[in-house]
Amino acid sequence: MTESILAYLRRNMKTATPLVPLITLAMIISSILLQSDGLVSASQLFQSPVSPVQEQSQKPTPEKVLPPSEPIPAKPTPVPLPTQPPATQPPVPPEPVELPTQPPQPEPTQPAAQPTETPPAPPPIVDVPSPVQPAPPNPGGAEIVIDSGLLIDSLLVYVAYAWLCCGVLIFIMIPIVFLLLYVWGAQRARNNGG
Amino acid sequence: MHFQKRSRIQWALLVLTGIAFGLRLYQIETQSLWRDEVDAILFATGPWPALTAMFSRAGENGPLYFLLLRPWIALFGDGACAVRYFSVLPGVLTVPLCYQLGRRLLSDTAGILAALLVATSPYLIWYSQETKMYALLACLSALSTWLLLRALQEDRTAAWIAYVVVTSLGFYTHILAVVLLPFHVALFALGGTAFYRRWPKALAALACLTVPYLPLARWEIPTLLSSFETGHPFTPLGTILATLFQVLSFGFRSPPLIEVVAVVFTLLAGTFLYRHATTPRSFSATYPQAVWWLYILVPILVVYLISLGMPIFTDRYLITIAAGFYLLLATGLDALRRRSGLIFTLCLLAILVSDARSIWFQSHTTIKADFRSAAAYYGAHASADDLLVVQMPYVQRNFEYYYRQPYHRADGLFTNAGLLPGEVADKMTALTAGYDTIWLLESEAEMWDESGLVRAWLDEHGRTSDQVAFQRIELTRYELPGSGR
Repeated sequence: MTESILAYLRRNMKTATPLVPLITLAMIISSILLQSDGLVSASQLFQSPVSPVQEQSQKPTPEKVLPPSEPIPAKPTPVPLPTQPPATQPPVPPEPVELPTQPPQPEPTQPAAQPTETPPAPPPIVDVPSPVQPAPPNPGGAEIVIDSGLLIDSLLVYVAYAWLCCGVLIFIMIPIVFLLLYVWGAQRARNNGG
Repeated sequence: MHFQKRSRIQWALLVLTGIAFGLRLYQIETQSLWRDEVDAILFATGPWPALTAMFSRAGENGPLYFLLLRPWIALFGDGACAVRYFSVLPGVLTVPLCYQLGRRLLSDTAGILAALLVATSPYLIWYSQETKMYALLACLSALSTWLLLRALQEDRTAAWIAYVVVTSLGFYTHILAVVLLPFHVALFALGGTAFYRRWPKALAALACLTVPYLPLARWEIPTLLSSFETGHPFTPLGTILATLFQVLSFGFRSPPLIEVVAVVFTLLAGTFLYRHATTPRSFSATYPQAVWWLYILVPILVVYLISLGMPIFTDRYLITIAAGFYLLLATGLDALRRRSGLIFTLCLLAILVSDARSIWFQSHTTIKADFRSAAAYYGAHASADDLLVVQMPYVQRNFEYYYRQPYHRADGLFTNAGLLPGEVADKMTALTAGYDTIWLLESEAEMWDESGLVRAWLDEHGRTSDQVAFQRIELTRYELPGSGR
């Protein structure tokens, strides 16, 4: 029994030896990965980050402040308060309650007032560089600044346009070409036959 | 003999599909519904014009999921389990689809290994338990690729038509499903002479795909050209790759080194050790790992290139590549199995143990904003005359999903546009007039009130009588002296 296990292990070790360089490479890559930002921050990916980043479709816009909306007069019902609240409670039973049939649309923001004084919350302590005056236009010729990101992006868009146009053309052309080929073939067959 | 083998494989696949189903149902209600999930319910149950307008409105992810969810909610209600169950179905369907993909380019065993990895993937389980379109998107991505392979290999018109239909459905499920198309073109090119004769049909399919895409392109292209703010930060390519590796391998858990080594080693084995024994007809058949790498990398590169101009990266948007990732991993396991049974067993065990740990973590840790507990606590401790200030106001939808009783609510002030403390004081005085007890519910408040001016005003003018924190939510009760009605 022991011998057969040892033989199995020996056989496997023999076949596994050529894998050592690959294992070493895997360990190096893993170490790099573990030190990268990606793996560290991935544990925070559960939902939209706390910073103003969220789903495109649900991006809230600043809302005009209104007095308490729909204050529903209700009889105050004294609720016995437990001394220690449970950490989690079962969901509220689904009573037929009016849900908003349409997602409330945030109203446009009020024009933001220009700050004239510093808010009490942590004031910005970062030195703000003085605004750079735009350089006067060069009479000899405009300075060309190439934004590589924008350039690639624009190129992609142009390619997408071309792809779309080609796609539509091909879509139209294919049946036409096949029809022409069919007519031409039929004509030729008729001619040969006749 | 052959019949017996096929029967065994079919049984294995059936068992794996059952396991996938069980894992996707396990603790499906552990997490409270988060903002996007409640939005999905509201979109699906909203008026028809609003729903159909999503086909042409800039910034929408895709209306198809909400359209499908609508009759589902009508039949089964809008309970958390009911709406999440809708994502379980495509999540389970992805398992046999990945088996079919693996079987087509690799072998039956590799297909079964791929099915096993998909069934136990913590990331796919997470999105199969979320009321969003991502489980459906992953499923459609695998189905579309499988149909394309089938169409290319068998040249059946029905497969071509099905490919066009399924891929178009993908476009309308999520706008970024379109990143699969460049991969499909590359897949055709990899086929070389094996697929050479299929080019008229492949071209016709591509052309046909253009037509259903036109309504989306009508608003997508101007949006791409404009300075539309997506709200996403720019993510460097290295971080994108590391993040996707992390979530696809370990879900949302930070893994130890040994688990990372096991996955990376298996991926490397899939890349360098696998070579199909016989068919030299096409490159893709001889080196299927090239197909999986393209499946993973082409969509990532497309998203990255778009992000250079307009940041759009979020890991879940690229869930389309999940099938490619698990197939590459299965290729690695299959290659190891052929070389060393011991190493294969060790790697497979390491991956499965890692998956089990991630699944346990996800299903026993409160991760999403816990509105269910917050609403229950408010219900138990607040009186009907209290006022609830919701900061940020958008999350009141989540609160009201769980708290379905009449209550007094006020929207928190939006101060991020430069509202001054004096203005905040005036507005807060008006907002709280007539209330003795104010509750402040804060969740993602930084998006609305980065400086915390609302809380500061309440701290200054009221006495804190209760404070409780839930996951991503803080609930504070203030007593305001002299504000009684």
